[in-house]
Amino acid sequence: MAKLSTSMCSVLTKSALENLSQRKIHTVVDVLLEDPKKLSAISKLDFKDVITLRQTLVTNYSPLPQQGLDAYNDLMSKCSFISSGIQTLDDLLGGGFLTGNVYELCGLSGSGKTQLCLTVATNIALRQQKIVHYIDTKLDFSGKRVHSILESKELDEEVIGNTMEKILVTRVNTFSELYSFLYHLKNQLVREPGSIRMIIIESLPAIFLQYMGSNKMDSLGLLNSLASLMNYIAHEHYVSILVVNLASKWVEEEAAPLSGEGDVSSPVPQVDIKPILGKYWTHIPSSRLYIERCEQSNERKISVIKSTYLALGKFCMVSVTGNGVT
Amino acid sequence: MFRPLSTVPLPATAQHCLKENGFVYCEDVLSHRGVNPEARNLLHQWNLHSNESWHSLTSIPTTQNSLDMWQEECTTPGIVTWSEQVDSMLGGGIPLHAITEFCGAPGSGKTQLCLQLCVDVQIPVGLGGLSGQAVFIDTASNFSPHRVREMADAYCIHCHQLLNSSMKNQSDISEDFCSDSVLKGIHCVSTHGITQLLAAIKLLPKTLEKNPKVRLIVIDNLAFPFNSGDSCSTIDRTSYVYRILSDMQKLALERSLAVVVTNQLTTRLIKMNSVKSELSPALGESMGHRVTQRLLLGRIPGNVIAAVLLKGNNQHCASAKFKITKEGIRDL
Repeated sequence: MAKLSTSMCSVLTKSALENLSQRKIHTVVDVLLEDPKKLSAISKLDFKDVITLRQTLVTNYSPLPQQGLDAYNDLMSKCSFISSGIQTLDDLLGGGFLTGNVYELCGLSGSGKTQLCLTVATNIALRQQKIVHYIDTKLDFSGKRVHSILESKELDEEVIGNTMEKILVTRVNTFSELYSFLYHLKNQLVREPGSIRMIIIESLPAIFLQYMGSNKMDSLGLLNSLASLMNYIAHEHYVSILVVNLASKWVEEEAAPLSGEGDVSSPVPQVDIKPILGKYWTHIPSSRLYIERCEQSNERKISVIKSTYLALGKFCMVSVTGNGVT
Repeated sequence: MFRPLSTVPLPATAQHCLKENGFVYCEDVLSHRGVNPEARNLLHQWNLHSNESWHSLTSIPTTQNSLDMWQEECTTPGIVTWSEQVDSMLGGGIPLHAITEFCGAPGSGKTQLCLQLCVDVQIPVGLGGLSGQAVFIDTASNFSPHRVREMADAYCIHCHQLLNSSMKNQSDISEDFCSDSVLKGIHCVSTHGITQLLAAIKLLPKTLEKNPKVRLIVIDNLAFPFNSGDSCSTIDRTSYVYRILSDMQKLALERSLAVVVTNQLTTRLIKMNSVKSELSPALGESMGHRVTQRLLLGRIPGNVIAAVLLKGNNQHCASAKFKITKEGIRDL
């Protein structure tokens, strides 16, 4: 909590609180930024009490430093690779999705992003017998597809049923629904640590492109809040998050003839394929995978285009078939 | 970690007012004891002071496991197109709870297919249909009652034949088939320009409340309003399209209905090795991302229409052929 209240520190009396709020000192940050002498004058508390108040707030709100070795050991004991179940992709990722990381999968529409997500979700649910959360923002989740992927592995109906019960799908339509749900998952992780290892969000642009345009700044602010929540969940609770982004063909606006009625003699624009959601977002995922169609219709190339721990430019080939992605 | 107030869907003025008074996080306003008394006073003017209203602002969307979803998908029938090839390509007709896009050049049968769906959604449950109704949002003055009547006539004759030939218990199907009742089951909203289209979409929940049997919403055509003179920038256009589709998606889930939109083709110049142009669906790359299924329609020699599934969840790059006759969409 950020707003000051009497329960935060014993010296903070009701009258002191009122005095402070009359001078627009409402939050913990306001107290920490203000000069203690001034605070004492405003709140009519003893100078000693103000110092105690500051101390209490600082100790309550500040995280403690951790030694690098401890951080390393912690990481080693709690982190693990979650195998995607696709051999070539696991090799590309050095073993699978590393917990504590946010991954982004981007590609043009129809390049197989959804197919890959459905396959990964199914494989994880089947092999690890762990809950996989699938957040669907654009009605793309297909139970039939998951069923047919499992059926192609020639499993018992019972195993198929058990596995499918482990894939939890949540359909969200607005930013606040998405945030509420992730926040709820965070609270669940606080109550039962380790209960969730994999979250797939498919896809973010479906939510954020609604808010683009006239109120672009607002949407960046929202994206920021979401990014910090995702990072928190991933880092603090050792969860892997896979986020789907759309890549789009960008054409230089000025040089481009208007679609349909173009004058061919005007300069032809260079087409550039870029992930959307803007530059800010490129800082958030720790690794970014780009999926593209190849010459053969069902072959796809997945390459690493940004990563904090993988070699850039590495790629692998997968094929999209009726049995999922292999 | 606390939830910032900016992530709660509050009016901007309420947001600002709370911030001015030192409320930064959701937890500042709502603790386990309920809404903070100071916040309660501040929020009175927006009528958001009760605990319930806060809980609904921060409500958690429901989660379903994929087994239940699969069972639901398998038991809900799709809307048949009356072309067996197209239906099997789509895995049993146009699915409910999904957004299907038809794109194609002028005269490739987009509107015809939409009109046919508006008729077919009314097939009674007893005959394997949905007994539904349709809303047709007509942005380009494409709706042709005369043509619907032709299709409806053929549909009624077909249903009568089916009833007479089958041994089904006829008391199940009380509706009498006449083209008038078919036409009554189609609610046409014609809009001109972006503003009217957006307003019509916002009015849809009310329209659907009045007509609870609606199981299909068609927007024909989604790209047209954005072509006109009062057009907006590309980013605004994408944002409008996404908002429209997001509203439709909400309705599709709440009311268990199918959404069909049509889209035009546009020329795109590309420079890879040499300069060339290609035809691609309008409204940009992001449009293809947003829809669940995308069908490309095109006329091929012999008065046949070919449909190619450009994007879909169940089959891959399948294609189908059908023809358009006086009766409507039919197999070859």
